[in-house]
Amino acid sequence: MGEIIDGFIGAIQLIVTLDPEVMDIALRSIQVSTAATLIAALIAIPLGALIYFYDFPGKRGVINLVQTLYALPTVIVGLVVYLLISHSGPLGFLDLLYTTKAMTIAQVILVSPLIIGFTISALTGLDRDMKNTVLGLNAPAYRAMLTLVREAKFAILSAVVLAFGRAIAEVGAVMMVGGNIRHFTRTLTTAISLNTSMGEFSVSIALGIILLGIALIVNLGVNVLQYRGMRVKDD
Amino acid sequence: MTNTVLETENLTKAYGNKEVLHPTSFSVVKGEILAVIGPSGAGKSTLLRLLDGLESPTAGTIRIFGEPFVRASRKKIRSRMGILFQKTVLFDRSVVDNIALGLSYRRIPRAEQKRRAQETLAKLGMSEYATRSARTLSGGEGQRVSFARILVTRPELLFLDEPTANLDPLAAKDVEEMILQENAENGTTIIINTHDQIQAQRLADRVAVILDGSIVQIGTPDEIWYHPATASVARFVGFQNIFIGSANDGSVSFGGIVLPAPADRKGLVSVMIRAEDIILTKNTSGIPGIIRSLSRRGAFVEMYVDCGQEFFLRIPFKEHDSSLSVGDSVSLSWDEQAVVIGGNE
Repeated sequence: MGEIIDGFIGAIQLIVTLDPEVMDIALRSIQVSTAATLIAALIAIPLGALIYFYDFPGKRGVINLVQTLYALPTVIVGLVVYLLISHSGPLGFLDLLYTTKAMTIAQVILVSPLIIGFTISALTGLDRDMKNTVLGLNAPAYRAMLTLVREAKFAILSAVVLAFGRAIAEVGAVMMVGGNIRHFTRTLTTAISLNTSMGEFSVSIALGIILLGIALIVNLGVNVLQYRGMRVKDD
Repeated sequence: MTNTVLETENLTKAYGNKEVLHPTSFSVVKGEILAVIGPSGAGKSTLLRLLDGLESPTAGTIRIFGEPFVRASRKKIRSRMGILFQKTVLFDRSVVDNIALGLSYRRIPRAEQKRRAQETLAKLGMSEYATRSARTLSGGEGQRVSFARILVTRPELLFLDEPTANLDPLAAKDVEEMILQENAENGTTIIINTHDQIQAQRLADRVAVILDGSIVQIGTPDEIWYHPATASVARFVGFQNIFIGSANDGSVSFGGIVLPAPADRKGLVSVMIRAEDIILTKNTSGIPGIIRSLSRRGAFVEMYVDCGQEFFLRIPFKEHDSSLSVGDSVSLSWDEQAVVIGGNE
């Protein structure tokens, strides 16, 4: 019990004094996960809109597959990306292994299904006549999709914020492809894992508090967006 | 005919094994308002969705503006059409931007979009709403804005799917006026789905009755309401007295009653008479019968009279003989033109 209390006190000190190493780790986590979420959003939102917009054979199967990938194990993503970018892998020549770029790629793969799936759900949640109205106005397909995505923006933004939450909280994939190298690829989750195994509870707890703080902000963001979305619908 | 704007031939739609629109052929000429009436689920909306290309037919063809309406020509033809739905669709933007939406898809310069949208709003007497969020409009205002969003694109052919079904009577009247004005000023051809028969009579040049996925009759409002082609149409447009009769040599007989009929009618026919067209008297000059039931319904008295066949009558309360009661002997008569002889089903 004493260890935990000491850990908490030490953690508060690290945060209040803006300990350079803790801040470095926190910033890297935020940078990698923000980049991954933005890249995933750029790919996944149009992809989700395309799947929603067009009818094609096997559409239901594709949606089921995307939804199944929500629960994609992070270590599997880590393993796949590792095999691809390791020196003997097909993308080995890019020298990405143990870099923040590799971590970003892994997180993009991890959160893209979430954004695709939630984009489809958000668009499906719109009134069916909204799509028909846009088509009836003879909108080109890409303009029709843009209009509909704009109508579902709050629900889609919620999905993006949730995806960021999943990205920043994951440990398996970034550990495997980033290597948890101090000052280079160490993130909040990998650092917590390492420091806990070394008995450095103060640092672990400090990083944990920061991670929880980020999760709280993410959650607040989702709530605000969903509230605004509901208000728009009620109007 | 060169004047034909829209033409279908054996247009059919099925979902799986269920045919929801049976082979349907009809045409609409320029400047015409065609009302499609029928009960819920009869296939009205399916027909309109096929005509607008929102769904593909299972069989049959559609020609619009003289061209086959197929995937390759859809964009081009659609640029001359518009569709309005029962449910008001407003986008999360200002009223003026809602109206300009269709113009923005047509790559019309932004300033021109605004000008035309403002002009349309002014015509609706809603200029002061321009910058308001469209989501703050009432149901009637919203539907007028939705309609204006289509009109501003200057369609030559309009599809309206129950456009006033969710509106209160005053708001519905505003939308009806917009429909008539658009038709009168721009000669826009309009196909309107409605379950409101009075609205169909008010707006339409011709009316199509669709029952169980088939258009069973197309004609002027007078033809539909006074000369229904079949018993089903008659029942749908409010005929309460429908009998199966046998026609031969210029007369039709049913249940012991013999009436004159067109000489070309032969075999089994439907004999149809509106309840309000039957005259009831106490004298014996007409078909004798006995009052079986009698009840007041608002401003009318409704009764069943047994003349061998049971007739349903609706008499304005003020014209009703209050001395009449159940069991009284009476006689029924009607104007010759009140009797409609239709096909048997």
